[in-house]
Amino acid sequence: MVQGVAHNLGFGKSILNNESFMKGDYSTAFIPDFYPDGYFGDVLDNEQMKVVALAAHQLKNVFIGYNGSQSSDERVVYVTVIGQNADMPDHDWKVERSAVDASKFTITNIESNESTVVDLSSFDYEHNSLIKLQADGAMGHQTFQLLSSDNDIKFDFYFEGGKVETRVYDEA
Amino acid sequence: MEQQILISAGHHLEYKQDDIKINGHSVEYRVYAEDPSRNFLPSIGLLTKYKEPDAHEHIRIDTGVQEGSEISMYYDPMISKLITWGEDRKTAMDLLDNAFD
Repeated sequence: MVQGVAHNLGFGKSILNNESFMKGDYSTAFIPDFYPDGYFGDVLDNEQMKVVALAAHQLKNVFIGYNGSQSSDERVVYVTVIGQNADMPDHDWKVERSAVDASKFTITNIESNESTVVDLSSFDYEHNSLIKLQADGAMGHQTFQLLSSDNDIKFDFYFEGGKVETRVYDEA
Repeated sequence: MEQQILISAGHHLEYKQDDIKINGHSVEYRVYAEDPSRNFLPSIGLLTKYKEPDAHEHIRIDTGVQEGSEISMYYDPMISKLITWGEDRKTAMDLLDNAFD
């Protein structure tokens, strides 16, 4: 984890996601070929946004001083993932923790109304930045960073090599 | 290193190709304080957070900085060399991917 200066860790992750690179099918012109305008962070897909939305739910509770098991916790939060560039709109998510099983979360894409139930087996927040979560299914183990937060509403992450801004609300 | 000096003094290389065995795959990523979105412009400032990956027998990190160090305009803005090893290229790359996080 590197903070305080701009760095190239995300760029490295992006390279590892490049099929040509992984197949060994590239030349010394790899960067100008694949990043002609530079690297600005990869745009998240739906599965990645669910991870961010779930983390935002958990952090909101951490930040307002709840521990994830009290009845006073925010069981339902709404997370807006801010569009990362001009081509990507904002995405709204609803994250609801089950009232009967505190490790079960229903994550809903508000626009499409598609829901996924995720069983979160562990969530750790270390060094005031590092997020480690473990869930079942496709989500699996994820490690990323919280870059900053304001007023328990604005949470900015460093996820898969790019900055991801979110807004987290109690109500839709 | 010793061989390099001997060769430059006119000695013969003591190793033949057959002496060189392949042992898995290794990859090095140089972590730089450079901004890929700004044509890799060096970024100076304080390393307000610097945490290395958990120790792992196949991860090696060569660095000269620590949390609180200054990345100055007077030196190369390299933060560390992050090196991983695996039985094959994919394994080494996967370990590098984890180390990035």
